[in-house]
Amino acid sequence: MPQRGLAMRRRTTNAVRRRVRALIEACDADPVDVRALRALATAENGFCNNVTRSQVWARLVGVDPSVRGSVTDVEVEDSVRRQLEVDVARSLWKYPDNINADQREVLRTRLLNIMLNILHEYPDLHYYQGFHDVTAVIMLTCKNDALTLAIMRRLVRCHLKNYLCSTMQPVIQQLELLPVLLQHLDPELNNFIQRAGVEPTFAVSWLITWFAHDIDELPRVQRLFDFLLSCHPLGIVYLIAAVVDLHRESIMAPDEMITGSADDFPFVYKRLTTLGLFDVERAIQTAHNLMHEVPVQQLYQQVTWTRATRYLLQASVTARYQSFMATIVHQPAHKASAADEFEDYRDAPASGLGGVFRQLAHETPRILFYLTTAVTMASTMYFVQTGQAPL
Amino acid sequence: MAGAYNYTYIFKYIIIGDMGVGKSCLLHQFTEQKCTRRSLSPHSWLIALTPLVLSLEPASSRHVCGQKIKLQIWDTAGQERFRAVTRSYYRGAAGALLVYDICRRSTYNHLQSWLNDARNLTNPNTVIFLIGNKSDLEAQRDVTTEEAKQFADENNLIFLETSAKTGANVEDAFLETAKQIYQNIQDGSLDLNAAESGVQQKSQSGSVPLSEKAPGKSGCC
Repeated sequence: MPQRGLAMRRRTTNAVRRRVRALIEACDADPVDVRALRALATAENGFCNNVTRSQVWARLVGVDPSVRGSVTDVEVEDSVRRQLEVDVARSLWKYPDNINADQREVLRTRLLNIMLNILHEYPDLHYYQGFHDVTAVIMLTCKNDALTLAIMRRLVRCHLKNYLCSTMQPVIQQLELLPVLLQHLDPELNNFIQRAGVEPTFAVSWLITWFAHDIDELPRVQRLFDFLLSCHPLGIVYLIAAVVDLHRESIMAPDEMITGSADDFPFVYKRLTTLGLFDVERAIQTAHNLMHEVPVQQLYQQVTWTRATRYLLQASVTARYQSFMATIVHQPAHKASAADEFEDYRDAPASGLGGVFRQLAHETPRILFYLTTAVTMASTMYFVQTGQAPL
Repeated sequence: MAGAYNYTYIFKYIIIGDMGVGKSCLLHQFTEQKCTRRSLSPHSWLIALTPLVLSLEPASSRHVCGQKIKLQIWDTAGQERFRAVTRSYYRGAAGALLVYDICRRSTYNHLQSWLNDARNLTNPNTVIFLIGNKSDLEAQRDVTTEEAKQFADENNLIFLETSAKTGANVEDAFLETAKQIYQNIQDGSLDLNAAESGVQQKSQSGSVPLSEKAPGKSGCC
């Protein structure tokens, strides 16, 4: 029996070794083999261990993992600093759990400095409660603050950008995509939630912290980050749909208080926001499949917004992700610092009407393309249906 | 959820106020009779809301006029940006605990805007209770009791200073609000048949749900 155990362990070790080798190969490829990394992110155990993980995360966002240096305190607006200090003071409780109070304080100071640097470098961003949860996960994984800072610089310009605007509007809009996905995944469950009148805003903390605020075990959060960092910024909405679906039994459990009407609101809300120890691998698998079944483009078409809103949002999210990906794929291998690549992001506006117009001007060719396509499609449909030329 | 119907009324509460004034801590003190940094850590700040249902039994020391009452309490996030989300959960609240920090004048200065929200988004009979929290930190006091008392009188609010840390007055704040709501029902000023009264009453045929409607559809451009 011990021999069999040993053989099994050896097989596992070999499998891990093979996985790590595949990860390193994909990272070292020039350009970085994002497609391979994406496939590995959805396979069981994802990026294996923290050493490999931090390297892969860096590569996935277009950062050189060998970046070194210290991150020190910088000047930011007083009110921003105060808020950060309050949040940091009550952060990092759940993990790591094997350190003493002094060590925890050191971690908190590091976390504070990383975030101060981000907000100092990008004054147009608006800090939100929860940003520190995401930053903490990256920091605890990388164990290298310069690398954490480099990764965060990239994330705040793409994946997290919608959450760092001056208002919650982009967050609410993103959450409105959730019922579309739930309807596809599980119409019965979606109807149940709709009948109780629970708005998709129940998932706001899952969205803007990538579950870091709500899951107590770091390895499970890291595993979700493997997936989220390797896919489209809207991947989180797919993941939320998958997580909700994994809880369908507890959400829909029969109870005398549940009447199938809007009166169920508080009870259904409570059930929806109570996360069990769900299987992260299954959630990732479901989200991954869902992204194939309902691609991002299709997702926007099914939301009951005005057509112009749909096209504008889709155009901006697509444009942002495309330029993000472009800097990853075309980065020269083993570059000392990826700072130059941020210049185009630094100029990009974060929010506000002025920002929207600047962004529109920036993306005019692409938007024109979308609008032209839309008009052409509408004309064609009209022609097909009526046999008459429009207008 | 055995005995879920074992109540006369359900009152919906919301707890509102600036970030860091101790809203969650007050709730924790009321429900668990303790509030330490450590005990609060996992929920030290809440992005959205936590509906919490609590029973007040006639037999216990915590009771409201001998009635079996359930409190359904919604703790809300204080950061300004989350108000767009939390506002939609104000509807149908029978009681609102409006909290500020006696050591931070800015949190007191923002009361008017919180109060406007509460008045605009709840029904006219909603009981609004003004709470000056952190009364244990007397040395750092930045807002006098008299000043807050005057604000409360001018705006027709009930007022107490509490300490979520020591527990002083915390229970009173929650129970007084319930008593006031109950009184409003008794004297007929709170119409249970009106939509969004914030009160559900149990009748013989089961519950007569009156209040809990879905929060308003969040608009989009």
